[in-house]
Amino acid sequence: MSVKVGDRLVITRRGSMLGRLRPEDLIETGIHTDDSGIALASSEIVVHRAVYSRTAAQAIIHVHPPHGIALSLEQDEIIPIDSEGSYLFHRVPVVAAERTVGSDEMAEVISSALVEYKLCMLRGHGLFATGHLLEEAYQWASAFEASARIAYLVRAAGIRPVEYRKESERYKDW
Amino acid sequence: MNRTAVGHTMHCRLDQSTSAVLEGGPDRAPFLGGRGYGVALLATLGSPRLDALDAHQPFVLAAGPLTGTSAPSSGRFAAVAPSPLTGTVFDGNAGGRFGVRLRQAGVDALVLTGAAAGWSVVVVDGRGAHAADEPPLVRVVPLCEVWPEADPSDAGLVWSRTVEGLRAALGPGFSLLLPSVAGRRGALLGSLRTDDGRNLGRGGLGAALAAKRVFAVAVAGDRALPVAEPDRFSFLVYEAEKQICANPVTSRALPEFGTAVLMQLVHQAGALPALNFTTTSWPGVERISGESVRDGLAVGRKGCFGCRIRCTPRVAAQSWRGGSDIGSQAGDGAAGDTGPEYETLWALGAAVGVDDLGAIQEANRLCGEYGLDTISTGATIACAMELSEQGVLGHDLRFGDANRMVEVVRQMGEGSGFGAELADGSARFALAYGHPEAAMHVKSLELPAYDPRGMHGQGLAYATSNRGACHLRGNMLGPEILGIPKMLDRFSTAGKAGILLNLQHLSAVFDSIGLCKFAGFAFGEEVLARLMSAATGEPLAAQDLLRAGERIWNLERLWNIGAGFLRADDTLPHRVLNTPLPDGPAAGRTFDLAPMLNEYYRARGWDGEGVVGAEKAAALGLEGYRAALVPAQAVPGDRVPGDIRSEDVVSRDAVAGADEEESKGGGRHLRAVP
Repeated sequence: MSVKVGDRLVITRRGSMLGRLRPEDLIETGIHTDDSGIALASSEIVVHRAVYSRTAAQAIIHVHPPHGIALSLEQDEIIPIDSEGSYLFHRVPVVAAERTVGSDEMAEVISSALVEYKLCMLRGHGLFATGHLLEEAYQWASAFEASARIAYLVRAAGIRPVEYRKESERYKDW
Repeated sequence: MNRTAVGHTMHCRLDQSTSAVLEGGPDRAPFLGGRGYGVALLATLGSPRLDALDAHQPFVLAAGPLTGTSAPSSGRFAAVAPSPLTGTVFDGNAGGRFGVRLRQAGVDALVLTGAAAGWSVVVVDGRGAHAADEPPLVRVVPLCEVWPEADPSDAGLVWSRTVEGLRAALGPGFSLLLPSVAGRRGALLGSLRTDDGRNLGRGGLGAALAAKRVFAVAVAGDRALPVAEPDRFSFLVYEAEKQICANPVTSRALPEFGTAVLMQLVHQAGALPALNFTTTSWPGVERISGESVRDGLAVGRKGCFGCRIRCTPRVAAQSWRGGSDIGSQAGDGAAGDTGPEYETLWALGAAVGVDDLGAIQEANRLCGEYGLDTISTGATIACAMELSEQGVLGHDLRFGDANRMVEVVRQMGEGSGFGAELADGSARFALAYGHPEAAMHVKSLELPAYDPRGMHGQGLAYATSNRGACHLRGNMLGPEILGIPKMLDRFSTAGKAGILLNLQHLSAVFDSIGLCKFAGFAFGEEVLARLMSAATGEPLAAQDLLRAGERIWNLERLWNIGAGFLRADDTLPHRVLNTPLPDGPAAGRTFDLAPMLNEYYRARGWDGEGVVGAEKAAALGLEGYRAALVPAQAVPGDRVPGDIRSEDVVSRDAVAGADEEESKGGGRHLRAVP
């Protein structure tokens, strides 16, 4: 997780437990340039910096949602079928990179996707969600996994959903 | 892909009575349209070194690419000019039908330069075009030819009479925009109003247009407004409307109560400033609340073109005991049947201690008829009430005196009696009486209805707004009161700059593309970018849109820097900074601005004085504007070369205890007392 504060970046410490964060787990460093804090920062800081440089995001949450990751292994996009996910997202792009941890390649593909979308999945790895506030990014991340879980369960159970949304076929073009 | 509507930028030289399509102007796309394009035209054709009312300064009317389309709440247009009240760049924005008519006439923007020889009506007629790209006919017609009986110096020629007369003279099909009595007289609180009762209230834009001897702008058009991808656009409109219906603010609160729904919420938060910002605990709040307006004043609601929210209360012919026969009595269905919205209820209510809804509505109606900004009018009367109660004035004007309040509003409109002293706003009035600290303003624009001591993010928004204290150029109401997108601690300071500047950019986007900001409670840049792409046929990502908002904001800042506004002007009234609130949920709080301002400047990439540097300007494609607008050394305390702060004024300021600045053209802006 990270937040932008002025021209600085506060990011979680590498290896920190996001559910049990302590003050010393929050590392402050430059939003564009390194200082000594970089040695302790999350390995994904390169992605966070790229996203901040290309978007107006004020906060980023990166998580590993199991159902979202499962769906990302098969699809190039995740189209929610539940009501809330449809309202909030319409479509979540899935991007791919050969090096899926802390690489410039993933920083490029993720930040490119987030110019148009507020969240995206990195295939096989996890979700990056942005927000004007940290709480907003958290909402996108949690709502996405809830939506992905429903889509996964429907598929796993072999349910053939009855369409209830007008023009939902256009969500692919969102 | 279908063809899109063709819009022209028309340049009307009032002094020569000529008009033509503007050649060689700025590109519109980087600034979207509306406010953004208007500011680009202003920056290209005008100069921050000239007085706001110099005839060479352009006055721009501009619609957005979505204005008049089927997008929700898409009736908006902008007026852009230097403000004679603040000395800053300024824009006003309103709904109704006028902006739609502009586009239907084939006009993206209408630029007025020079001043007419006598009172005139600018007539824009785009009807009956033989080709979609045919420019409209723009004429400068002397008022005496249009409406020989009209006497612009007549204080009885108020808005409703003017509309009635012009409609009869021009015939059907025209939408009108006009200054009224106050603006024609040159009062700096003089506003603009459309014939369907929509106001561009703030900043003295009525005085600015009237200074060009423009009595009214009349627009007629019958052109279709096609979008590039109609099927996709229709789907996106459907999705946007779903968001509006799903959001309780846009689907329930605003349609049922109007913006007055905020009265109780802001009061409960300890952020409703009453009695000229001396308290946020005021017992009259329930009597002017949304519930009271719904149950005791409104007879229905009305909306602008294409609006699903319909936030405006519609009122019956008013029957307040002290009512006058000035202008329209606002019969049901008349254009003047508009009731007070939140800011007006506050300014003519809580700010002056009046809890009589009838009196507030009468004052609101008079402001509409005379063409006065309701916020600044009420706030200036509140300032005068405080000074009167302190024994500074020779007039008996007490908080809570509804009759007197209404009478003073009438005087401000007419330019008569004591009220005439108030019609240029609180900063000038309080300074004239030697008490600048009693004026609650930033850059000479009166603070609206939120006390920064109870909403710290909103205070930063006031301090940094490019047009002075304003809640519409980046409103922290969402995160600090309504929980949109999430509820923030309204008293926290760290981290507020980032969310604010995004809201400022989004505000610029809404004002530029032609949609109402209230739609922003339901959806943001993701939906807006897709609507824009489908309408124009030009791909535009959500972040591109916010980047355009940032470009517009920085261009406005460059203009202001050129006019001499720097960090010292990004401040708040002395009372807000130094006097703790005595009561309420924010009791004991003041406002610590410096750390928030530092963070804000860093987040913007500006230097410590708030100057947009060359690198930042280049990143936004504004290097040419920077070179033209900003003097080589914009340093606080220095005089801007060729510009605005004459030494004699500085000397007088020292005596008066205020920091006042005067432009070489004679207009002046006033700095808040530190």
